Amino acid sequence: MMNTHLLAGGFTDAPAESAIAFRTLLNAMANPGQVQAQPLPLNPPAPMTANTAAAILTLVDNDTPLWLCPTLNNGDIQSFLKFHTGAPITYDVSQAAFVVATTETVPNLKSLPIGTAEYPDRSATLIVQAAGDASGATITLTGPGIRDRQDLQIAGLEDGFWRAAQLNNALFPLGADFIFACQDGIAACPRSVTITMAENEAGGA
Amino acid sequence: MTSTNPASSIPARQRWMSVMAKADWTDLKSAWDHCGHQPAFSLLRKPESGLVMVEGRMGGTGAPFNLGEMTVTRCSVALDNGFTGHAYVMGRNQQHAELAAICDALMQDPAHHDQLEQAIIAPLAEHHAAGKRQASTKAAATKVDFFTLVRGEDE
Repeated sequence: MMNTHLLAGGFTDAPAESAIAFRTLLNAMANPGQVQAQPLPLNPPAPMTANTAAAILTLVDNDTPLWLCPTLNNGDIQSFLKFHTGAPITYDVSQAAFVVATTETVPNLKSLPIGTAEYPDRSATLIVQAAGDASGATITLTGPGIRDRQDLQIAGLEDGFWRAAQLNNALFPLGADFIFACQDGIAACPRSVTITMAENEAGGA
Repeated sequence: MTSTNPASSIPARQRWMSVMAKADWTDLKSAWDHCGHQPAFSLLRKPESGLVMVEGRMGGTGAPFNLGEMTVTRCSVALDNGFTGHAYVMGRNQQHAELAAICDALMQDPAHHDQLEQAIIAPLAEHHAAGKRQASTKAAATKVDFFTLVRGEDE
């Protein structure tokens, strides 16, 4: 019974549902910092959330090595992702195309692939699963896709993460992209935006 | 998942999955209808067709080369008693893929394994082997014996 339950929590109508999830991710990327509601009631094995699963099942396939943080790397989740995506699991962050972590287990951002000058697309996308109740630093985003400025607060992500993200985004056009699977939807912070911390807002970033 | 059941060892499962994948749909269907099973199941993955690149090796041991793409239909089911079945079959017959997946799940169930083995898998395997024997007999009849060419002095 456990097995059935395990594999049944993915897309029930993969072509239509993955298109819905892809549109959610596209809107999130096009409007950095805005949380987009994710309507699909996916049921991945614990402790993975529906929003994290929606991002992974939509973006990951058998050509994209996947790195899972220890919290999200258990036998059930591996079986679930293997069945639905066929992605190879890698234990080397620098080889991963997609890096999935919770806010507590985000790997050192410097270890993520950032692409090359010829192929900036050969970089990693970091998918961060955020818990709902933790506090988090408020940051301000400016740049492509944002009219004036966009505030963003991800539960569980403090200044340390955002400072590392600032360094990552300074590498543009290289660098990793960030997707945040929050409790109420999906937000994104592509490498193209400028991140400003709340306290040094006056000075700029 | 069902590793406690010796009947579900990986080589055994590979064998019956292979037999059902290569079987003729009408043969599989009639054998199944004879069994009269009506298990309750849900689809984990609806039958879907796609292309798979078939690789070959010259002489069976050389470097792999792409032989060509072939149409394959796959399906995954979960029986209500908890067993999960997968199938990849040649061609585009979705019913074939679904039935093969159901059989794969039932074959893992010790309560049904022996009956299905006798009623479905063994006859289909025998049928396939007979076809293979016939083809190789036919091919063997056309074999040229170069030995006689070399000698050429039998008269």
